[in-house]
Parts: sequence; structure tokens; C-alpha cells
Amino acid sequence: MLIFLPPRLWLLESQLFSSEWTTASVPQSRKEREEDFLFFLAKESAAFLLVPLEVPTMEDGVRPLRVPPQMSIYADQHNVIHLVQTMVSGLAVDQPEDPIAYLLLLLQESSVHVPRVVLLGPPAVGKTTLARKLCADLGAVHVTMETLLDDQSQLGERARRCALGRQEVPDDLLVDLIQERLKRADCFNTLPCGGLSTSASRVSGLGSRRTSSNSPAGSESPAGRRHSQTRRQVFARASCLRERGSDIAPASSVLLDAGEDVLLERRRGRRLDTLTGDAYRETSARPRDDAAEGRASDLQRHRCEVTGMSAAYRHVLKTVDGDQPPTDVYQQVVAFLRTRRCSRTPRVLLLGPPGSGKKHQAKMLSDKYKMVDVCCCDLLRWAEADPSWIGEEVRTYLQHNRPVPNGVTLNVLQERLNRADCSQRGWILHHLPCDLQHAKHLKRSLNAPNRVFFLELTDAVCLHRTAAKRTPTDPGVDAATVRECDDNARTVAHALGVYRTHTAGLQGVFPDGVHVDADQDPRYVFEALDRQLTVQTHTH
Amino acid sequence: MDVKITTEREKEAAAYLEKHKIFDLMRNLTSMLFFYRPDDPKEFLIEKLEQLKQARDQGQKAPSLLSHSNLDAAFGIVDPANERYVTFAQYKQALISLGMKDINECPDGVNDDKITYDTFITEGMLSLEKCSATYKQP
Repeated sequence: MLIFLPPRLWLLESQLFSSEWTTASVPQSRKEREEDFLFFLAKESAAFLLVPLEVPTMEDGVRPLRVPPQMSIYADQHNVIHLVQTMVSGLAVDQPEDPIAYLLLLLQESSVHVPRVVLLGPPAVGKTTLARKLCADLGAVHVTMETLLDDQSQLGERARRCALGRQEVPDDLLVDLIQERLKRADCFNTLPCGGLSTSASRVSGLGSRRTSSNSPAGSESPAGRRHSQTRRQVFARASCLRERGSDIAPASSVLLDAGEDVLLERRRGRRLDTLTGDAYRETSARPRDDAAEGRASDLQRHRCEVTGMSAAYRHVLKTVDGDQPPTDVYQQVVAFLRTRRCSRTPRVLLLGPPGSGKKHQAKMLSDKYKMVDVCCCDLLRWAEADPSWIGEEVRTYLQHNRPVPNGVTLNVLQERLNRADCSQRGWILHHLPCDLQHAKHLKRSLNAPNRVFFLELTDAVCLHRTAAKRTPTDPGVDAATVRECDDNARTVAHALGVYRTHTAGLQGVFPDGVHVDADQDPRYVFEALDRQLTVQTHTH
Repeated sequence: MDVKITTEREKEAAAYLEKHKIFDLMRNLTSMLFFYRPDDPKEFLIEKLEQLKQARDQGQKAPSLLSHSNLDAAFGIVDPANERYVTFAQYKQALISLGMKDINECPDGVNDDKITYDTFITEGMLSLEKCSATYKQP
């Protein structure tokens, strides 16, 4: 949707909250006055301005601005970014004369979480079935060409006359019809979803932003028209429709695709139930050869136009393979609709029994996203080397050979996570001491993780993996090493026991943690984790 | 031809955003939002927008995050010896760091390179008002 925004606005979000924002190399200024200046202002109840992102210093260097964690947490909690995005994109597309009044109206509408969907695809790929299922489950309103034509209003009359006269319904009329339909009362329910099916050559924008909680899902079914449009014409039309539709545009669109023979096969067996209007398929239908030509030309037309349509919706498009069983297709589409790309500073917590691959995964993830890999085992070593106050505390304990108490380790953890590199680049934390106290403390603090993963592994596999790690590969193993291994096995078993007792508690502390099966190839585990990192599911 | 459509629309949209100072408006609103962190962001934004609307229509003061005390604090930082004078470069830098644009390049005392406290505050407040008035100037 944010196609038209000037690049600076992207900077505001993507650089602030993106996990891939790398800190610019900065000539370290001797005096830290410039940085202190800003933090001083922040503390002394002055503004902490989010932009400018780069603070010009006296020495002509630039320092990247540090965003306090409170702001990231607040942004996540209240979906601020999405709100701002909606506001700005609305303004950019609509361009009202009075932006303040427009924004006031927009904000006073109830919800901005409105999935508006257009379903695209060649004939007989299963759009109608999918659309009906989606509408039933999401409480949506399915808008199709047929329902539009049935509209009793004046616009509907005109549309019907065009259709009867075998002419194309003009674009303006179509969009007006859509707007009218969506403004009607039944589209005002909580999270209704309206679908629109148009002929293959038209992809209209759907759903008015004003009708608050309104989300149309569009599906395409071929009307009886046989015009072939060139790609450019289609694209032009799609764009015009979308613009003309005063910022009505789908927030997501799904393109169902399948091979040609599959489609032809399906088309043959397609029937429309006269009572309910549902499309269902008869698998054993006698082929009707006379309609074969019609099908082929429909398909051809679709192929010509699909590139134009995909280009028009490329920012929100997802292609789903229509050749799968309908439940699979449905699952994928629902998953896509429910998610929303969001860029945020990742704060990831990996929990799992010993041997589940936490270190390995943490390394892979931090390499990919340039996060800081924080391993709790190394925390004390880091603290010892640290010159600040926390280092002092830890050193005093270690010098007297005393175990470092829990409170101090908690402080060390917090301090590490509060450092500039962690709060800017995000962090991935693993090997947390299996203490509920630690977990609760972490959650309550400013550095609460926004993604928690539980790596699931059975005990047997854990022991096997940890044994494999320790066993030396060369055959010259002497008794001492074997004894050592046994000792280690006992430690591992003990650690495993501890983890198991704490699992239920940990799951209680982090109820929205994601369970990932760690018993697979590390690459698959990595992919599973990766997928979860950038999506955010709607919770209505 | 389809490429041209996008570019033209983009230009139009960019021009619109520039004319109505949308970028500044959004920056102010989000700064305030992140600073105060209200429980209901929408209500808060509505309130601020109403204030802005009144500022535009009735000439009242537009809402802004910074105030007189912030300028005071800024002056205090740049002038730690409490001489009540700053150089022009310091004055400019301080105002830029606070996020002001349209800084008066010729305030009183620029010839001697001695900007007094009062001039600093006055110029600062003027710039602040300009920054907060994020609507199209008639």
C-alpha cells in the first residue's frame, strides 16, 4: 500500500524499528556532549524526537539515535506503527483538502485492522469455494459480480442494462456499485469481509475506509465476456480503479494458480448448485466438448491479464498453489490474512532442554538479522571484563571465590540487554538459567522478549545429542575420558530434569511462546523460527 | 504508459505531502505519542488534532512537545559557565538539535557573535511555533 510515500517516511519506520538497521560507523567524538545533550533533554522532560535520525555533531560526524526500549515496547503494544501507516497512506492516496479533518474522521472510526482481500485467479481454480469458506469463517460478506448486478438501486439497474446488452460495465459504474454495496448496513458488523468477483479484466478496489470494520474479499469468476485486453490496458485500468476508488484498495490479495490441464479438468466438472449458488464439482461428469473452446479462451485471457493484475497488486500479493486440496489452500490463505509484516527490534528468547540446538540456532539467526547473541553462560565472563559498576560487583564476588547471587546475575542480564548494541540491533537470548525467577524478572522488565520459542525435544534425543557432542571421535579413548563422559552425562541428566520441572512454569510466564520441534534438521528448525520472527498475528 | 502513471501519482502524492506538511505533522504527533505514551493512542491523537485544528482556525497555540522550559534547559547546556551569552554557532546547533528548522540566521547580536539568553528564547519560541503549525499556510 505504501507505494506512493516519499522515501523519507520509510526511513521513519524502517530505520527505527527494523532489525536490519546497522549502526553507521561513527567517528567517536571525544566529548560525548552531543549524545548526552539529547539524553539529558529526554530526561529533563524535553522532547525525544524520533526524527532527525542522524544528529549532526560539531565534528561533522553522524551518530545514530538510540531509541529507548520503552518506546519499542509501547509501539508493539499499541500497534502504533500500523496506525501511523494507515494515516499516512490514507492521506497520500486520498489527498483531501483538509488533512486534519480527514485524520480526525479516520481516527474516530473504530478499527483500523481491516483485512480487505481480493482473490484472483484463472477460472475454475477454486475461488468461489475459498471465498465462501473465508466469509463463513471470518464473518465476511462475499461480494461478487452477480450480487452487484442484483443490486436494486439505480446503479444496479444501469449495470444490468449493460450486462444484458452484452457490453462491458464501465469502470466508474462498477466502482460506484461496489462502494454503495459496501456502505450498506450488513457490512458494518465487526469484521465483515466482502468479496468481489469481477470479470478477469477488471480488478477493482474494494472496501471503503470509512465503513469502519469492513473487509471485502474479492473473488473472480469469469463473466461471459470475451474481450482480450492487453497487459497495459489491464494495468492501467486496475490502477485507475484503485485510485478512483478513493483509497479503497485491498490490504491483501491472493492469487491462486494452478496448471492449465488441472484447470481444464476442473472446469469440465464444475456445476453450480441452483439453490445455494455454491459451486461444487462433479468428478464424474461427461465432458462437454462444445464448451471446451470457451474454457481454453478464458484461460488464455486470464494468462494475458494475470501479469497486469499481479503488477497492480504486487505489494500485497501472495501466490498460492491452487492445485492442492481445498483445506490446504484455505489454511494458507487464512494464515496469510492473519499476518502482517511488521518490522521491529527483535528480542528473542530461546528456551529448550540441553542439546536442542539453541546455540546453533541463535548463531544462525543472529548472523542473518545482525542481532546480538547473548548467551547467559558467558554473562559472568562478560561482566567480569566490563569496566562499569556491574563489573565491579561481579569482580568482588569472584575474587573472594563466592558464588554470585541471583540478584546480581539478574542485574548483569538487564545491564547487558540495556547496552546500546543490544537495544539497537535486537538480541537473541539463550541458555537462560532455568529459574522461574529469571524468566519473570525478564518479562516484567523493559527488556521483555517479543518472541519466545520453546524448542521441543524428547529426553532420549537430548541425551543422545549431548553424548554425541562429548564423545571424541578417535578410537584411542582412555578410561579417564570415559569416566568424565559419564560425569557429564549425569550433569546433563540433572539439567534435563531441572528443565522439565520448570517447563510448565515457563510456559505459564510466556503463554504466547511458540513451540518448535527441534528434532529435525537444523535448517528446518531455522526456517520455522525465521518465519515466526517477522510476522505478527492479528488478535481480534 | 503504465510506468508513467505510477510516477505521476507518486509526484502528485509527494507534492501533496509537502504542501500540507504531512511529514512534520506526523513527526510531531508520533513524538508526542511516544513521549507521553498514553493508554489510548487514538484518543490522544484525536485530542492533539483538535488542538491543531483550533490553532489553525482560531489562531490559538498549536500543540507541541517542546516548551519554554526545554529551551531554557538547552541554553543551560550550551552555556555551562552561566555567562548568559552563546556564540552564533552554538545557538544554531542547539536549535537544530532540538529539531527546529527555519532558524533565524540573523538574530540580535549576531554581529558580535553574542546571542543573549532572551534572544535565544525568543528565536527558539518563534521556530517552535513554525514547527508546530503543520498545516498549509494560507
